[in-house]
Amino acid sequence: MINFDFDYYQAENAKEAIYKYLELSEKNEENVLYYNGGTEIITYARKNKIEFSALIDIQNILECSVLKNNQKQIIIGASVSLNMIIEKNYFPLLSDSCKGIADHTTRNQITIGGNLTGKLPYKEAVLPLLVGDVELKIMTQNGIKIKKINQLFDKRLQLEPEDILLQIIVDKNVIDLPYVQIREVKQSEIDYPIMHLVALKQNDKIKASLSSLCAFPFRDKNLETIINDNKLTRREKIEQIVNNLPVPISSNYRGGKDYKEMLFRNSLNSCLDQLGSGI
Amino acid sequence: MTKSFVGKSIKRNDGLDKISGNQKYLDDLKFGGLLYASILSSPHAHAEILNIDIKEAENSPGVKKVITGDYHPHAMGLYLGDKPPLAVQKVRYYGEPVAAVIAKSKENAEKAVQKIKVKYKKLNSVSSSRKSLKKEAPILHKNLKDYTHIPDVLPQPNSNIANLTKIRKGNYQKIAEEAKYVINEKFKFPPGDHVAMENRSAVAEIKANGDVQIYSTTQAPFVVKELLAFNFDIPTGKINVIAPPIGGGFGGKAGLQLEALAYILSKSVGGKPVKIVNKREDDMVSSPGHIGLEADVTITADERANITGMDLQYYFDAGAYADYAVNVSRAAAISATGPYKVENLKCDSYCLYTNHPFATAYRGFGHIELAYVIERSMDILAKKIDIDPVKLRLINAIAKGDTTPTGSLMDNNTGDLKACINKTAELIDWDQGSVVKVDNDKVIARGTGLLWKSPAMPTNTDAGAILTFNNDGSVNLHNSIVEIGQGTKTGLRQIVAEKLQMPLNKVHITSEVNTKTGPHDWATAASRSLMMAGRAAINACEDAIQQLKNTAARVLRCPVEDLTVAKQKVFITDEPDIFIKVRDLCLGYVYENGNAIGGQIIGRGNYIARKLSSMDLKTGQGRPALEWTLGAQAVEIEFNLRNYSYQIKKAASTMDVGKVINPDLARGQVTGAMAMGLSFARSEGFSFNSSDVVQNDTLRDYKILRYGEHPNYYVEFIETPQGDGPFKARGLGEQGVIGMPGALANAISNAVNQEIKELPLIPELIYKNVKKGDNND
Repeated sequence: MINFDFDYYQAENAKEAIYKYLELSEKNEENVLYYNGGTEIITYARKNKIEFSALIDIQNILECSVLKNNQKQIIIGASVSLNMIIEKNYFPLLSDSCKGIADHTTRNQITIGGNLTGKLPYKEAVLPLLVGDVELKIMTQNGIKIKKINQLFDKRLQLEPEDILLQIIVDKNVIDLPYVQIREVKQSEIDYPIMHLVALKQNDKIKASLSSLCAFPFRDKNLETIINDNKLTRREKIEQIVNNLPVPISSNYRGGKDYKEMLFRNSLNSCLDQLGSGI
Repeated sequence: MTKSFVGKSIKRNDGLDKISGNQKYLDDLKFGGLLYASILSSPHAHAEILNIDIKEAENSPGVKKVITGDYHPHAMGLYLGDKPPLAVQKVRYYGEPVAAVIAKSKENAEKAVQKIKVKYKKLNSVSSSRKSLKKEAPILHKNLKDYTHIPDVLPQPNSNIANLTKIRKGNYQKIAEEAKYVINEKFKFPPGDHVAMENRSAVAEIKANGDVQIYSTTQAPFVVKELLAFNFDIPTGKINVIAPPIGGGFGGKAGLQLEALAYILSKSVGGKPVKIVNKREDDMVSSPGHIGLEADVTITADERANITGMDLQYYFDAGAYADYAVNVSRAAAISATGPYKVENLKCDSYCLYTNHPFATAYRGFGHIELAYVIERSMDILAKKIDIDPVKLRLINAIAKGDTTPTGSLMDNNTGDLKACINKTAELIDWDQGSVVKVDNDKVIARGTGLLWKSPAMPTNTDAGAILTFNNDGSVNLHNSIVEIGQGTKTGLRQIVAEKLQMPLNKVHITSEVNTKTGPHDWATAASRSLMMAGRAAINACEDAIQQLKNTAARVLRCPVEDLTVAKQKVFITDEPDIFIKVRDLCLGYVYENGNAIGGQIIGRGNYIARKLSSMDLKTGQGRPALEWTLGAQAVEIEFNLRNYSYQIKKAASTMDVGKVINPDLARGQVTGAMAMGLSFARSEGFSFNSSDVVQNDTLRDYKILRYGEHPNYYVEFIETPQGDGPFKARGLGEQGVIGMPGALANAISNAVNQEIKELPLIPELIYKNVKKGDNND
């Protein structure tokens, strides 16, 4: 049971949502949240781990619910469920990366927008988007903006509190590229990952992103330089990558540093095996 | 010719309601004028309560009352009275109830409980059973010497020892000196939860005349009634406890649980009905879970691989309060050696206080714990001797004529353990090898483990049965077995149908237990329900048959001994055409002129265990065990050597159950138990941070086996008759869990060629063991 009261608004369009957000925030109701699939908000609120005085439901915003496979682009609305993305399978790497998130029943509810912007640190759906260099369509106070995800993502999407992620725009050039996706868990498949590696090969270069190994997900240029440096042996590549992570490997209840490092090394090996770079 | 109803797979009588979602559990029941409670629990594992401010909560909308430990600051318990319903001065575990709000609605109660402000001073916590014995460990119960307890439990004041059971058998001191083979090993695993599907709840009401009515998700309504009477000084007859069918118990709903708290909550609002329902998180940590264990094991064997002796030191982690744990540690001592012939034995089984959530009974009751330790040790011993582990078990398997750890004789009713071992080895393809390489990354590995268990219960444990009749000649069996999903009631119907030679659809059974109207019954625990309530039911049938014959003899004008009851008739045995229908007798026989005789038939039956005796406090010798169920289990896994993950492919079990009353239900019980044992070993158990706060008190993090993770199950039975069992049957409800953790850990140890001595068997633990092993090489 959620044992505190809050106001609920349903926005018909993105502009209305932002105006409502700004209006409520100005009234000193500081805890306003956008509501999409709701899985995180409901489970956190039940345990009193978040508080809010108002929710603005953005699921009815038309742009957020589209899922289109155009000639040159795939357009994914922020309110599209993970299961819908998996079933349509327009972007196989994205489908594979979403398959491990929660369980089937919950994936009916979890939206890709929620996965990217929620509080949880895993954000597994971001991994294919980072290596796919996708664009994001965002509603801001000053109107719609389109930005590259790699300019916006630093630990999390760096948006203003009132901004609304509307859509993800995927260039279809990336969807047929060879890729590797490796997700390791503590034990049960239905669990948060302890390491999730995604890589694809474009123009003979490997692009890679990682979640859950460290405190937050990232794609790191420096690591990509190492992995693509053909002067290095495979052993050297892996050694240098492990030693040059932008942040240390995290240890927690789900997995200790040593074990995660071993899995990461294995995964890098598999990645190089399959994408054929290196020695 | 008699018709047979036992040995058949009759559908369970509660099946349709359960699969259609119609079964009403306690939280579904409606009560007039009900108030709702919400509990505030401790965020710390060990702390002093400096101050509790309840003002704001009291003023919250809908609130009737807020109470803290001071309202009833008296310790109570099952065998050892150590726990007040709400914490007094100190909290001793993460999740301990500290204060309660009673309000008009659940919403009101939950809102208000957040407004209670508690100031704590954190104290150093006792983080393991071994550490609880150290000199520097804080003493968690300074008043231990003042607590009331039963004579079989031996708490040691000024220590953290809640109980210590000693077993001394044979010449245990000399064994190590003369042995050809010796192993010394240490094992451990953490406490955890039962994860029953239905969370615990209770409703208490005190009527104007002082009658106390409790509805509870309990496996032990009579224990609840008697403990409430004892602890609150209420005449026992004034209390009625009603136990509707419950959604899984697994031992976790025996003893005294939310009922005492519900009672004082009702009392605090003038006796109005008050309901408490655990949230899942509360059910996992606030209410008791299963016990943890650390153990030191020494086993010796001679040149022919005969075990010559064992020295077993069991350190059970009871958590903050003793509850059932003091008897779990005792049960583990009674069965300490596992099902092996061991002439020389020293066992000290400690029940120790720590700052962990407290432990109660768990399916297997001490046996799943000791079996893990013993079965791992047997495999280690087999490697030391260089003998096949199945062969080692065959050589040492206990058999008729051997004695148990407490020195009692395995009598004519002893099951055929060797047959179980051979059958299980066949089911798991043991002859194909314990490790088989599949490819560079994968191996198939197998492991085996034996089981034994007898009920660990008071020597005067009893059961009762009352048989009444309906005007169509059908019968109602009034019994006090709680429906916990185990299917005993269906088995009891089969037993009554068999005994009365009456169609099954004419045998009805009560589904809820009511301690005012039902016969006395110790508890629905210890896998003794079918055995004891079954015997009582047979006894009640015999009584009813005698009464039916008495009335019929008058009507038919023949000797009572010439009559037979079958097919809903009483007839002259050698002239079956002369008969009276049971329906014309059971509520009194009426002559044509209207004269009536006989009156209604009420069958009375009871059963009390025979010849059980208490154990000697110094040597543990005695006869505390009712009957022994023996068995052998095994698993096959596919192990990934690259990331240390594995899949359980097959699980096999053969048990000697005397007689299978209902094959489908029996297989269902054993399969469910095997799954639970695998889950226990594979992934369950609490994880604690450095302050002993539970980190996985949600089902998101506390992983149990999911549907897709189950192996194929193979279940077989051997039938060596249990002479005193109902139709020669013995208990089988819990036993299927017992050998699984050992079998799984043995398979994994075989896969990686390292001895795994902990649980749960998560890949990271296996990796660490392998890495440690590599470093030692």
